[in-house]
Amino acid sequence: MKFALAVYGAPANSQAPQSALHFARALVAQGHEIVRLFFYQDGVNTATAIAQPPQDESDLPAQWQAFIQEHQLDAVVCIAAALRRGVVDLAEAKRYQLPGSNLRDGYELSGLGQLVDGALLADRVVTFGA
Amino acid sequence: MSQSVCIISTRAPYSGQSAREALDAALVCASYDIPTALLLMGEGVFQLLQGQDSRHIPRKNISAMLQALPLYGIDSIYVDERSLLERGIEASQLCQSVTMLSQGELPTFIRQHSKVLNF
Amino acid sequence: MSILHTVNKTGQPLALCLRAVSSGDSVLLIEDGVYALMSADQSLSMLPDRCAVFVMDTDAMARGVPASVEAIDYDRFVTLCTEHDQVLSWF
Repeated sequence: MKFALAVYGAPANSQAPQSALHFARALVAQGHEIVRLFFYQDGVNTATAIAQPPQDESDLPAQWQAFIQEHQLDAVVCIAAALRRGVVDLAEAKRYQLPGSNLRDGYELSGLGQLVDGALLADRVVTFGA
Repeated sequence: MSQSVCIISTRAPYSGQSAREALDAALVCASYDIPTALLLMGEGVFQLLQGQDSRHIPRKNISAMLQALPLYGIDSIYVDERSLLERGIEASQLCQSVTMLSQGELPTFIRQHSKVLNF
Repeated sequence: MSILHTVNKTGQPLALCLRAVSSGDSVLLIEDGVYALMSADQSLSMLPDRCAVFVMDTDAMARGVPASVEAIDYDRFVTLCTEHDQVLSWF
């Protein structure tokens, strides 16, 4: 089956991105297709390259990135939600003359239409909210 | 079933972004020419209170955005009637007329859509 | 049409889920939703008939909540998604 996953919670204050990753791994293990990952609301923080969790905690941003790259998944971060929350790529940093950029490789900043597209394309949409 | 989307919005406006982002999602769905319904439940019904003036927070006035939905092809706002009752809100206190869903109607209504997204 | 509902906390998400549930649906308690199994919370007794309740095993275990309904893992969560027509998350 085709699945679209939506993640609305940030690693620092929600279990959503962790639960979503466990679920995504199980999906892949069972041979399902993840047609889209969509990070929205505080979920955009999952894609930051500059969060540094303590040594004795799991590094969810790194784990998600590794998973996305290993399976070559279409991982979209909502651009409006990301800009609001300070998750930006080089292009947006230049556009708005921001002092830095922090979007991890493997993610793409794009519009909310990608969530809708993914939801329409998928057989099942599973949301992990905050 | 041909595609139709129900967006459920369950949070009060202004303190966070959920209400605003649910509305954005509804507008994007509607722009795809997909029949789109917006359903307010729980604290989401507070988005409909009349007399909101959010300029001094400042925030964009969500009730004004809700009133503009017909321009984008979303003709009705659906509301869980029980969510209003349990908050002591009468229809006359809302910024616009809405379609009430009684407890009996709510599960059926949700099931009429091919995709349901909660915010 | 049957729906698999996921609930990640008690309070409003659980209450709204229960309003949307129909006979034949399933409810999966995840994250803080597992606290719905604590005996003082009678919300789940309001479910229509033929509704199964599941709890995410790792979440119940983490929180010290005894699993009084079927505890499942993420593999089973995936198959539950395929066994229902839709998945609706409450949070």
